[in-house]
Amino acid sequence: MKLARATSAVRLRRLSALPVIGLIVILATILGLSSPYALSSQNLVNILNQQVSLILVTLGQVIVILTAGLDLSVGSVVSMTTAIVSHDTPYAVPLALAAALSVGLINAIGILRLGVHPILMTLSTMTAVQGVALFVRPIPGGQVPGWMTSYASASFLGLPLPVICAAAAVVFASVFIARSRFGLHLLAIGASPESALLGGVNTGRIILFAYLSSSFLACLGGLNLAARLASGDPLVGTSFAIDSIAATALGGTQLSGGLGGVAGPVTGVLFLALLGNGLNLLNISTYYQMIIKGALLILAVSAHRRSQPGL
Amino acid sequence: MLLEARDVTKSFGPVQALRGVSLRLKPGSAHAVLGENGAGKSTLMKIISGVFPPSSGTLKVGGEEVRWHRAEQARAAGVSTIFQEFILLPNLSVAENLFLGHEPRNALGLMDRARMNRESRRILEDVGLDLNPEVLTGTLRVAEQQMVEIAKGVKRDARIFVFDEPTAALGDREAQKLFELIHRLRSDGKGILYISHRLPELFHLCDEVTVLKDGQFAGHFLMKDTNAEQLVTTMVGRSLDQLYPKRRPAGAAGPPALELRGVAVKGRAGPVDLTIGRNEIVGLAGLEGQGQIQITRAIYEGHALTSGKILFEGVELGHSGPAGGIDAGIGLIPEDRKVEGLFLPLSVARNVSAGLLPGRGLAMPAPTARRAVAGQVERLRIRLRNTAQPIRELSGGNQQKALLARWLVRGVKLLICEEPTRGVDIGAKSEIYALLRELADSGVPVLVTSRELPELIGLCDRIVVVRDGATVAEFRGEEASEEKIMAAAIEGGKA
Repeated sequence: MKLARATSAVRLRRLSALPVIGLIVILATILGLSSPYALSSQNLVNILNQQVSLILVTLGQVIVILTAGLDLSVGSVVSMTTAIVSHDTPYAVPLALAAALSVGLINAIGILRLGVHPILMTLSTMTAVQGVALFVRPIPGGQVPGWMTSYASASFLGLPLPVICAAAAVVFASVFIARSRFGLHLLAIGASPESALLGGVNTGRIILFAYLSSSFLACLGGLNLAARLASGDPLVGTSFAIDSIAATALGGTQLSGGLGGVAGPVTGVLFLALLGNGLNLLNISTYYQMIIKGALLILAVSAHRRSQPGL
Repeated sequence: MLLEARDVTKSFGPVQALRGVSLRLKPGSAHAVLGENGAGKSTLMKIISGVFPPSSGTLKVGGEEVRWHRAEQARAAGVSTIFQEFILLPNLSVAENLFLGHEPRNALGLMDRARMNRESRRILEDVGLDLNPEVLTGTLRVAEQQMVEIAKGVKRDARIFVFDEPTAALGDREAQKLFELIHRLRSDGKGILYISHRLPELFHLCDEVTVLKDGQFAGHFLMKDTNAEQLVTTMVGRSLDQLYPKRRPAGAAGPPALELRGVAVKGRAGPVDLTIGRNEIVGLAGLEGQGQIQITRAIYEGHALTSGKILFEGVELGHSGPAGGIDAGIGLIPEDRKVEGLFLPLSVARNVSAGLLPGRGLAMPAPTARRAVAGQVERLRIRLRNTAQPIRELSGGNQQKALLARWLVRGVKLLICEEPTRGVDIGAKSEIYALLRELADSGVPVLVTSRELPELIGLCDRIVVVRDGATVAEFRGEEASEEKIMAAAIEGGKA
C-alpha cells in the first residue's frame, strides 16, 4: 500500500507488462539450454516474421479491451481481407480496407446505439463476416497483387520488411496509447464509461474510434498474411480472435478494461510463439502442446495481481 | 443572485418527484438542503448539476436562465458537483483526473504530462492538499478523493459547489479539513449548496436552510434563527421525541430465549455472557470492531466457538453456516445491506420471498407467496410502484423494511439486526423502530448492533457493552447514557 501510494500511475501502467517479460526470459533460457537452434537469430527472425499479422491484430484488440470491450470479429476480418485481395484487381486493397472499416463501424453502432454487449455484437459480425469471406472466396487460392508478394519477401538491414513494419506499428501504437489524449480516454472509459462521460470525455467517439482501429489493424494483419501466402484463404484467420485475446490477457492488460498497454500484449504474442516453436523443436506432439499452452495461460493470467486498488 | 430556482417541478412518468420548489443561493453563502430520503433533494441537486432539466419552472445562474440536459453544460456554466459516489476514475493519476477531457497538448499533439503535473500540484496546494499528482487515484483515501473532486471544481473556476452528503464517508478529522475548505470557498465568494442529514454540521457550516418534504417546499430558515428541533419537525412532520417507541417496563423481559454462556468467538478470548428475554430488544455497543459482528455471526452462522455455548430456547446451537441458523429460526439483517442482504437487480417480491427459500428442495418451485409479500408490503408500509420493481430502485429505508419483511414472511423466532437504520432517513427510522418493538412485544426477541449510541439508548431495553470480544458492562435502556457506555467501552470493567 505504501509502495503503491508512492508509485506514479504511469509507472504502474508500465509495470503491467513485467510478468510476461519475466516469463519470456525464463522460457528463452530453458529453450536456449535445451536446443541450440532455438535462440539462433535465424530462428528468432523466422518466429517474428510469422507473428507479424497476429501482432497487428493484437494491437487493435488491446485498444478495444482497454475500453472494457472485446472484438471477436478480428479473425473473420483477417480472413475476409485475404479473400478480397486474392482477387487481383487494382481496387483490391482499398476495397478490403473499406470492408474492414465498415465492420468496425457496424460493431460500434451496435454497441453504442443498439446497446448490444460487445461480445455478442462482435460474435454476430464474426459470423456474418466469415460468411462474406466464404462468399468472396469459397476455397483457398487466387493471387494477390505483385507488389504485395515483393513486400513480403523484401528485407532491409537483414530484417524482413514485414517485421520492420510491425515494429514501427508497435512503437507508434504504444506512444499513441501512453501519451495521447485518446489513450487516456480509452483508460477512463474502461474504468467507468459513466464517470468518463461526466468527466467530459466524448465516450461515443472514442469507442467508435476503438472499434474502427481494431478492424483497421485486423485488415492490415490480413494484408500481411495474404502477402506472405501470396493467395487468399477464407478460414485462415479463424484463430486470430482467441489468440489476440489470450496474448492481451497474458500481457497483463485486464479484460475488464482500464489497465494495460501495448508492450505486454505484444510480448504475450511473442511468448506464445516462442513456446510453440520451442515445443516443436523439442518434438512434443501438438496435442500436448495445446494442453501445455492452456495450462500456462491459466497460470500466467492468474499470476497478475487484480486486487490492486484501481487496477 | 448566484443561483435561483423558481417553481421547479420534475416528474418521472406519473411520479412527481418535485413540485414547485424554489431556492436562492447568494455568493459567499452556504445553503443547506434538508429533507428525508425521497423528499426530492437529489432530484433538485441533479437539476442544478445539469443531469436533467426540470419539467417546468426556471433555473437561473448568474441571472441568466439556463436549460441543461447534460452535466457537462452545468459544469461549463460553473457548477461543480461533488457527488456521493465519486466520479473520479481510480485507474488514472490525480493529474489525469483533474485534466480529463481538457488535457493540455504539446506541439506534437501528445498530452503534455509535465504541464499537467505541474499545474495539478499548484491546484492541489490551493485546496490545501499535499499530494503527489502522479499518484494513482484509486489508492487515495475517500477524504482525499473528495478533496481532489473539489480541486477539480476549483480548477474549472466553478462559482457554485454542490455537496451531496460529503461527510457520509469521512472521519472526524477529515470532515474538519473539509469544513475548513468549504469556509475558504465561501470567503472566496463561491456559493455552496450542502446536502446532509447531520444537523450539527449544518449549523456549523451554513447560513440558510431550505427544507423539502415529499417533493415540496416545506420551509426556509436562517440558521441563526432556527434549531434542530424545528428543522426535524419541518422535515418529518413530527417531533424528535416521538422517534423511539415506548420501552417495556422493567421486569417484563419475558423468559430467556437466547443465552450465550462464556462464549469465546474465533480470534477473541471472550467471555461473552448474554441473555435475551423473549420480549426484549438488546443492543450490543462498543467501539468499532470489538467483536460485535463476530458475536452476531456466531449466533446466526454458527462459527466454531473456542469455548462456551449458545443456547437458543434451551437447546444448544450446533449449526455451521447460515442455513443452520435460519433453520433454527434465526433471521439476520446484515450490516452491509447492499452487499450481504439484498439481491439488488431482483424484484422486491423476489427479495422478500427469498425468506421462504431456505430448507426447500433445490428442484422444488420457488414460492412466490404473492399474498404474504403483499401483506408485508402493506404492513411495513414499503413505498414502491409495485412488487415487481427492482429493489435497487427503492430508498434505503424501504430496502431495509423489505429485508425485515423477508424474515417476517418466514416467521423467525429471533431477529438479529446489525445497524438497523444505516443510510435510512428519519421517517423510515421511526417506522423501523416501531416494527422492531412490535416484534419484541409479540415474542420475537431482537438483538441489535449499532454505531450510533443514541439509537441504542433510545431503542433498546438493555445495552450490553462489548470490548475486545468480551461483554464488559450492561445498562438498562432508561439508565444508559452515551458517557456511561463510552466509559465502559474504553476502560472495560463490570458496571
